[in-house]
This record gives sequence, C-alpha cells and structure tokens, in this order.
Amino acid sequence: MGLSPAMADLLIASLLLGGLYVTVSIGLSLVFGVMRVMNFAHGEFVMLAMYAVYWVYEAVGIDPYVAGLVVVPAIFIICFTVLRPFVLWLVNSPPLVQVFATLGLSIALQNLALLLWAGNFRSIQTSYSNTLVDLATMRVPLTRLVAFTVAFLLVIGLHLFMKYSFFGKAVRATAQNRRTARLMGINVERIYILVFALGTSIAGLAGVLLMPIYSVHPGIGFQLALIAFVVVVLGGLGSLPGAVLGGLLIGFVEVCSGYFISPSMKQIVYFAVFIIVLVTRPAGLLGQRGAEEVGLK
Amino acid sequence: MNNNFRLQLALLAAPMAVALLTSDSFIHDSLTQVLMWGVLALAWNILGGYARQISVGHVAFFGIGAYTSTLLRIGFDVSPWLGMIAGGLLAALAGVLLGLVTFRLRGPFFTMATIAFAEVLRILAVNLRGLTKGSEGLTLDSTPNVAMFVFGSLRTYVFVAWAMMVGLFLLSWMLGRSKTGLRLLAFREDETAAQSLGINTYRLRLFAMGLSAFFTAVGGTFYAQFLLFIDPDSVFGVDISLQMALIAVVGGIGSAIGPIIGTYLVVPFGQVLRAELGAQLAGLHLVVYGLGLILVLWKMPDGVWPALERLIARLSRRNATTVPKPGTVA
Amino acid sequence: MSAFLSVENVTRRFGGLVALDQVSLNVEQGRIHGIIGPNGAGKTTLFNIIAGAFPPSEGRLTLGGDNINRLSPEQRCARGIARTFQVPRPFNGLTVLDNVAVGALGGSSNVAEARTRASATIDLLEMGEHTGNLASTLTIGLRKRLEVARALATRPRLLLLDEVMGGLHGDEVDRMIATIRRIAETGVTVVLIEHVMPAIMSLAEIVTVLDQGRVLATGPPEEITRNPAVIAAYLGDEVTA
Repeated sequence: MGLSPAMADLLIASLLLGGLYVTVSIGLSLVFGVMRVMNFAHGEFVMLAMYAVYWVYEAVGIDPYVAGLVVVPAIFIICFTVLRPFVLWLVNSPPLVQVFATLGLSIALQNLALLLWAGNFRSIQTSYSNTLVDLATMRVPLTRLVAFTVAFLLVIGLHLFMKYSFFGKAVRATAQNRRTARLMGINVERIYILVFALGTSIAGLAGVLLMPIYSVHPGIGFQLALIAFVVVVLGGLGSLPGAVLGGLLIGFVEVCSGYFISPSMKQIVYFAVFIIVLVTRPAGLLGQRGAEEVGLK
Repeated sequence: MNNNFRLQLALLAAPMAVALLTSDSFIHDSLTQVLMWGVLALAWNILGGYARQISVGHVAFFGIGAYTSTLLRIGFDVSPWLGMIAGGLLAALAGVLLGLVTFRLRGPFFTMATIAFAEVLRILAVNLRGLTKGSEGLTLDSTPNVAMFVFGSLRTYVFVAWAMMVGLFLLSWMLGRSKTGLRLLAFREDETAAQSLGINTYRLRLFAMGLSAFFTAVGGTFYAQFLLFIDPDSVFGVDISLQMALIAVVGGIGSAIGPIIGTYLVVPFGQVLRAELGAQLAGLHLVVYGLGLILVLWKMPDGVWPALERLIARLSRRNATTVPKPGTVA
Repeated sequence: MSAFLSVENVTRRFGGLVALDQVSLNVEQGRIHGIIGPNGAGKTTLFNIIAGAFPPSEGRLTLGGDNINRLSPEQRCARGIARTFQVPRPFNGLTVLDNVAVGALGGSSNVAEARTRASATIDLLEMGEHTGNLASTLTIGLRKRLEVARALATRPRLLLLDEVMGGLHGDEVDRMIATIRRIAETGVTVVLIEHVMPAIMSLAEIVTVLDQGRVLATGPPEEITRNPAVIAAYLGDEVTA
C-alpha cells in the first residue's frame, strides 16, 4: 500500500492517543448537550479516579483495571447521591453561578488532592507496564491498546444506549426540550442526575485507563480539562459523534506536531487548532450551527 | 443611598488608615497584597461584571503587563512607570484581538477561549527562552529608586497600591454611571434588544475587553515591581485568573465596591489560613476557597455587597420613610 | 407621495423553507401601514429583515432612498428605524425608567438627560406610575407598552410595531390605539403587524396582506377586508372582528 511505515506508525499512535482523549472528553460533551452546563470540574474527576486506582494498587496490590470495576461505579453512585442536590441547583442557576460553582468545585478537589497526596508525580508499575504488542508496523504498549479497546467499546455502548434504550431516548428528549419532556412524563430531574453521573463516571473510566500509562499529580485534571475543551468544541459541544471525531483529530494533531515540530510546542498546536475552530466554525464540526451564540440559554 | 455612600467611603479609606496607624511590615505586606488584588478584581469586573463576559484567562493580561514592564526595564532601562503604560496598552491590544476572535462566542464557549488564550501565553513564556529566559524567570534590581518604581519603604507600596485601587474604583464608578455603563447594563440583559435600540454591542464588548485588560496589566506591573521577580508560572498561572474572578464574584460583580469588599474578605482570609496551617497543609486554604465560593454562590449569588445593601435597607426601613429604589446603575 | 420605506422583491429562505417570496411594499412617509396575514405568513420575518436582524436572501430595502441592506440593527436604529418585539424583551433588571432611558441614550449627552427624555416618553404612554418599578414586575400589557416606549425613545422616523395589541384587554386596546395615533401625529411613520382587526381598521391607512410568504393584496382596509382572496386565506383562522 501507499503508506510508509512512518505514516502508519503516526496513524496508530494517533488512534491510541485519540481514543484516550475521546474517553476523557465524551462525558463533558454529554453533560453539556443535555444539561447545558459546562462542568469545569470534569478534569478533577479523572484525576480522582487516577488517584483512587493508584492508592488501591499501592495499598492492596489490586490491578488498576480490576480496581476500575469498583471505582467507576463508585463515582457514579457518589454523583447520583451525594452530588445530587449540587447538580440540581446547578442546572437551575444562572450562567455565572454555573461557571463559578464548577470552578469552585474544581479548585476544592484539586487542592484536596494536593493536601492529601502532595504535588509529586506518582505512577504505578504493574507486571505488564512495559509489555509491548505487535501491531502492524509497530510495537504498541499493551496499556494503550487496552485503553483504546475500552474506549472503542464505550463509544459503541454509549451509542447503542442513547439510540435504543428507553433512558437513552428520554435523555435525548430532555436535551431537545426540557419542558416538553416533562409533559411527556419524563422525570427531568432524574435524567439530569443520571446524565451527570454517567458523564462523570466516564471521566472516571478515563482516569482508570490513564493511570497505567501516565503519572498522576493534582494538576493533571486541569491539563486534561483543557484537552477536553478543545476536543468537544472541535467536535461540537453536545454531539457525541463530534466528541469521537474531535478526540481522534486532536490525537492526530498532537502526535504529528510532536513528531514534525517539537514535543514542547505541541500544546500550542492544538490550542491554535482550538482558536481556529472558534473563529471559523465555533459550533464545531458536527455541532449545531449557532449553538455557540446561544451559549448557555 | 447616602448611608451606603458613607460606608463605601469608609471601606475605601480603611486600608490607608491601617497603613498610617501601624508600622508592622507584615501588615504592610499583607495590605499591599490585598490592595493589589483589589485592583485586579476591579479590572476583571469591568468585563466580567459590567459586561458579564466571564473570563477565566485574565492572567494573560497580568502576565503581559508584568513581562512588558520588566523586559523594558531590564533591556532598555525604561522606567516601569512608563513600562506600566506600555504593558497596559499591549494588553489592551491583546484584549481587543481576543475579543475579535471570540466575538460570536457566548457563555462557556467564551470562557474556555479565555482559558486557552492564557495557557498559550504561558507556554510561549516558558518556551521563548530568548525573550523571557523561560522558567528561569527575570529578576529586577532591588535598589530603591522611585523613578524606577522601587521603594525603600513598604508603606510606600501600600500607598501606591491604594492609590491605584481607589483610582480604578472611581473609574469603575464613573463608568457605571455613564452612558456606556447603561449600555453595558442593557447589553448584558438582552443583547438583541440592546442592538435594536442602537447600541453597537460589538464595539461595546471590545471596549470592555480592552479597558479590563489594560488595568489588569497595570496590576501585573505592580506585582513585578513588588516582588522583583517574575516567571511564567507566577505571572501566567491560571490560579491568578481564578482568584481575580473569585474575589469579584464573592464581593459582588457589577458594582464598583463589590470587588473591594471581595478582596477585603478573601485575601486576608487566605493569608490567615496559610499562616495558621503552614506549609504542611499546603492547599487547604484553597480547598476552603473553593468550597467557600460554592457557599457564597448558593446563599448570596449576587455577592456580599448586594446582600449587605439589602441588610442595611431592611435595618433602615425601621427608621426611614423611603425605601431605596433598586435597579440604578452602579 | 414618496415611498419612505421601500421593500423590493424581498425573498428570504431558511434552508429549504421559503419564508418570504418576492415581497414588495412601499410605505409612505407619515402614514400608518398595516401588515396582516394568517400565522406563519412571514410577517415577523419581514420585520426582522427591515430591522436588520438578518439580511434578505434576495431583494432590496431602501429607507428615504438609501439602500439599507447592509446595515446592522444598530446602524438602522441610527437611521431612524425602531422596532418592538412580538414577545417583549424588557431589560428585566432595570427599572422602567432606565429601560426607556437606554433608548434615549443616542440623542442625549448623559444619563440624566436620557432619563429626563425617557420620562416624557413614559408619560406619553401613560406609564408614569410605574417609572421606578423593575421591568420584571410588569404585567404583559405594561410590558408591551414598555416595548413601545423604549423604541419611541430612540426618536425614530419609522416605528415597527409587532403585535403590540396581543394579550391586551378591551380598554387597553383602545388606549394603545389612541397612543399609536398620537405617535403617528408627531410625524413618525408606523408599520404595524396585527391580528386584532379593530386596531387595523381604525389605525391603518394602507394594509398589506401576507400569506405564506407572498403579498396577497395591498390597499385601504375596507377594500382588503372585502377581498375574497384575503377572506379565503383567513378561513379557518381566528379573526377577531
């Protein structure tokens, strides 16, 4: 075929990274699409999941992916119960309050992590941390392959859920028009909690997938949130296929710019992409035109 | 509103009184910080309060101010007093450019753009080592020289910061009462309706951005001259953007005195927390900040100042015959 | 008999939907011109185009002979076009006085002057007793009057009123009719969209009927109401006679 080995490597690397970015970002897009709330604390939930998985591994030696089976549902339950009043208050608040309440949560969680676990970078080493798998032209870390596979399954699962399940339809109805949904008998409040819990636990899942690959530190939430912003705006806020497309594209951009330009400047490249998208097509590739002008209405 | 007017005067005068009455350098240092944050919060308020465009990337302008005056000082012996103006103008230009780029964005889209903008500048500051010396940072000469914005006495810094804060307060107050202030109110209530009444909302937004950016940069220069050392993380860090906004929101956005009350409450609180809990519990004061912010937003979403006004109104209603009319500008 | 406002072959499409199709009408200076038609006929779309909310897909607008196609809403306001919105859009956090003062800002040198002029306009619309109240506390009838007051404060030459009678009860309708007549007497050209027929009959000197984006007929009210095509278009629709 026409693909040079280098190109194939870049593509594979892009897919793997993109898959991670999709997982990090898709929950954010979901929450905004349904609730019109931008959760500025989204990154912190990824961070907390990473720490949870880290400490379970350090303390009890349980494999991170196995721990994830508990951590992700735990996050879901916490959002559904403890954070319920917070979420309902948020949805009915003016934009200013929404922004700063989630920012406040972000500040609190980030510094809670700093307080509890200090600022140093922590990583885990499992038996398979260094295992490489042969894939086409290159050898790929197992951990990244696992992450990509889970991301892939997640996207499919989410798509099926949204399209065919009753809850999925209720969610889509609520996203389109909350008043009509209510008139149809949908418990809008419960949908909001469900969506928030779902979106946030997907963020937790991202954390579980990230921990075997990267190091965690209290500030990683902010960095991941920035990436998530770029991904969801690129793809179209509220659009799940958009988040997938956005994540893969940003993965591609980052890998290529790291390769062709320089690793330290690759952040600038995707911020440049961000700015270009905001200028030319703020609604994103798959988003609704004009959505960016309506903002939080 | 006479009661409130006198209260505002008292609040404005308070720091000066404290500075003149004490000689404790620790207090003077704290005061300087309180006043500097007051300047920053007032500057943020012009865009975030009056125009209701929520930026969490204002540190971009802060950093531009700090680096501009510092580089001019180090490279060309230009007095930071002039460098301050240059930094302000450069920041205003950056603000207007940012405004042009984001002119169609509302709500969280705009906010995210500002965050990204500030991050880009921080990364540039780290990487353009030829210009900024990167993470190594820049150090300024500490020999006292008034012409070069370096003072021997800490109390002078308090005075300068206080003068800046009062000046910006007056400017905000006058802006609020001006035609532009009323236009801004209309703009943030309903942009489409405002346009139909002849208000050029495009220009208005850019004006608010430029003005807000200018004074944020002025604060940046002051910071640079106060600490005599800057680096990308200290002058382009997102925590500064957050604190500026947080102070204004807690104090009460949309009024001139709100950010001042905000800084009086938030900054000393943080200083005390940090002092009491020390380095071992690094981050605790910020956890409290975060939770405190949520609490204030929950109980007093308008901020402390309007809540205070309501309290005063309720108390004076027991004695007075007229009730103050709400809805007036600033 | 010069056309003050001239709408020439204006077409407006929204994707596949044709909201206005080759609409032309001329409004003479100082007259009251009515626009009627069943729901969905495109009346508000036409207003939006005249006011500058969005441009026509085809066609031309001239005001006093000048082509205004490319002007923004605020520029059109400066040229003398003011409008109300079908669903009132008051500045909820401001008082009635300040709402109207915003309109008066253009011709005033400071806020105090704007407020003084606003007061006069408020009196014209008989809203004096509500001057200090927040716009959010007003009833629908008062909000409609506030819309008119605010638009009027901009000292327009052309005033576009979008269903200002909607939601008003008997007495209020008569007062609004009287107010509009007073406004027109000061020389302001008025174009009004209405469903309330008594208002149209008593106010409008010329009426244009829109149906499904096209002009059905134009003429004096008595002629229009007897036009069989117009009646047919309204069949099945509510016409408050």
